[in-house]
Amino acid sequence: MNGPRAEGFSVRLPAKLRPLVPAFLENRAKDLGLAQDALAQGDWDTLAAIGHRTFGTASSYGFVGLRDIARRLEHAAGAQDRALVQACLTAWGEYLQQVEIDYASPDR
Amino acid sequence: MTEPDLQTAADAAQRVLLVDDDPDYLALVALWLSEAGFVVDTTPDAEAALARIDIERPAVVVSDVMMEGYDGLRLLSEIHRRDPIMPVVLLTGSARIPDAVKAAHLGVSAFLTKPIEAQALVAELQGILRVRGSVDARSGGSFGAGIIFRSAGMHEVVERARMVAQFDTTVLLTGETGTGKEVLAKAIHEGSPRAAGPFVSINCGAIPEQLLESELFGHEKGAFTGASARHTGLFQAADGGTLFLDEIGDMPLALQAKLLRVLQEFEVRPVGATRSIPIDVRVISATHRDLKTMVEDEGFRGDLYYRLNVVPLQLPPLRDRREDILPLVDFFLERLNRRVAKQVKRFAPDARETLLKAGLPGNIRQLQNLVERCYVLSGGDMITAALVGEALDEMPGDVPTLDAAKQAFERRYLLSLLRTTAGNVATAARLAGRNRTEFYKLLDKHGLEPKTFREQKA
Repeated sequence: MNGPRAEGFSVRLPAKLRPLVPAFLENRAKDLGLAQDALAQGDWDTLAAIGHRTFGTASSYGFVGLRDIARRLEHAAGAQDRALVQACLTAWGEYLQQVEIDYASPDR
Repeated sequence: MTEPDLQTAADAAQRVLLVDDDPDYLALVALWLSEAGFVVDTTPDAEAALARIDIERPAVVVSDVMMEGYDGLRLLSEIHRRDPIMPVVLLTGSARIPDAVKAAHLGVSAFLTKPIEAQALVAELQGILRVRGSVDARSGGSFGAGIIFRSAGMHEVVERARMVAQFDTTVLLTGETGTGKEVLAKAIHEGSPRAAGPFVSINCGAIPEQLLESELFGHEKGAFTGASARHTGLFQAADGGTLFLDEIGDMPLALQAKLLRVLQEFEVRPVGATRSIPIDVRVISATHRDLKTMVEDEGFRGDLYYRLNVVPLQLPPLRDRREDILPLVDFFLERLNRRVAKQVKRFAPDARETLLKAGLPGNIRQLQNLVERCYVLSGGDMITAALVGEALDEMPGDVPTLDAAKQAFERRYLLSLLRTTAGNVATAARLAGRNRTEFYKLLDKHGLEPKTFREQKA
């Protein structure tokens, strides 16, 4: 799988998001666990839903790399492509471990 | 326009209810909108949103479409069944044409696709609220601009006050201590043709009898021991304007007779004077007492009661208008924020929830004290639920009236029945020993929808 690793591990976010980000990342780790369970059970709908939801939320927060992984996951689940889903989940885990956040200075 | 006027309009026009079952997205959008100056309430659940809408009357609802169990389209439909003009904005991760068509058919104000930029969402809401604001301004007018309310009960009282303000009719305001009687009296004065004249207020229960007579009617020099100079009474001071007689039920009987004469003859005679002075004063009186019972018990003159009670207006206590709690909290907090310009504080979402659920206090003054206490004791910018809980625990308890206690019990009882029977009205009515018609009347009285309980069960 290529793409997210190259462009998305370093993220610059507005300082005002700082209080929200820990919960966001924690929830994405929980989502990863749910997705792995869903893959084990061949639950493609749940996988697609997780990908779909994360695409929207990650985009809005500014986690571009995770957004791209989530979009790929949604499509892979739609195609019931087990190998590609697994690759997406691996990339997802790596992203959460390696993402580096730089908070921009507050406006005021 | 007064300062409270601005606050009232801003609060009513800027309140947004956000509904999304994704807590991270909810928190992010709440942050965007708060920063843009909106007052934001959040809930992850569409059914909880409906309950909140009934209580908080947001200016606009922003909801996700895809939510588990109760989706955004169904929420839109239910909101418009209750309030056809409430603006609803739907956000969707996948803009499917059938959903968009259905949403348009249901009267959605905007159907937006995620991810959306903060500025785009803010601009969309500002546009919607500008339209909504013009509608509100037409129906509300500027009367009672300093009165903070959202409840139907207060709306009715304020509307009646607006109507009566234009005439010189004597008004009697009743209601528990701290329900805003003086604020309403002032609004009537300011909405009347006498607005340019003085508004003079006196608490009849706080002044000893002889002094009260002198305060109201004035006295001549040497009229009694200590009357070293002539004193102009409040009736004369209020000439051309309005005299507000607060706690009229505490006025001694002897003075009641003198007040009655003034109201009949439109002239006052100061203590010790030989001649009467014509006055042009409108009288608004108020009491927390049951004057009718006092008349029966001969504690209050019947003829004066009927003279004062030409138009009665009863202010409901805060516990009967819970919809007004959060607007009042925001109003008091905003005032403190303006006063202490160095630090802007907010109530955390769960702190607001705690305030709303806390069967809250008897009157507005207590609520104001509670907000001030939380403001002062809060270490950071965010006032926590724990601090609110602590302040509530230490609030002086109110003893409810028997009627209030009965009402509270009746509501709890009905809620319990509806939960037990999963909203089955026939069963609930049978258990309560009432026929269905009577039972429906009871539900209406408390604003309870059996359907909500059926859906919760399913």
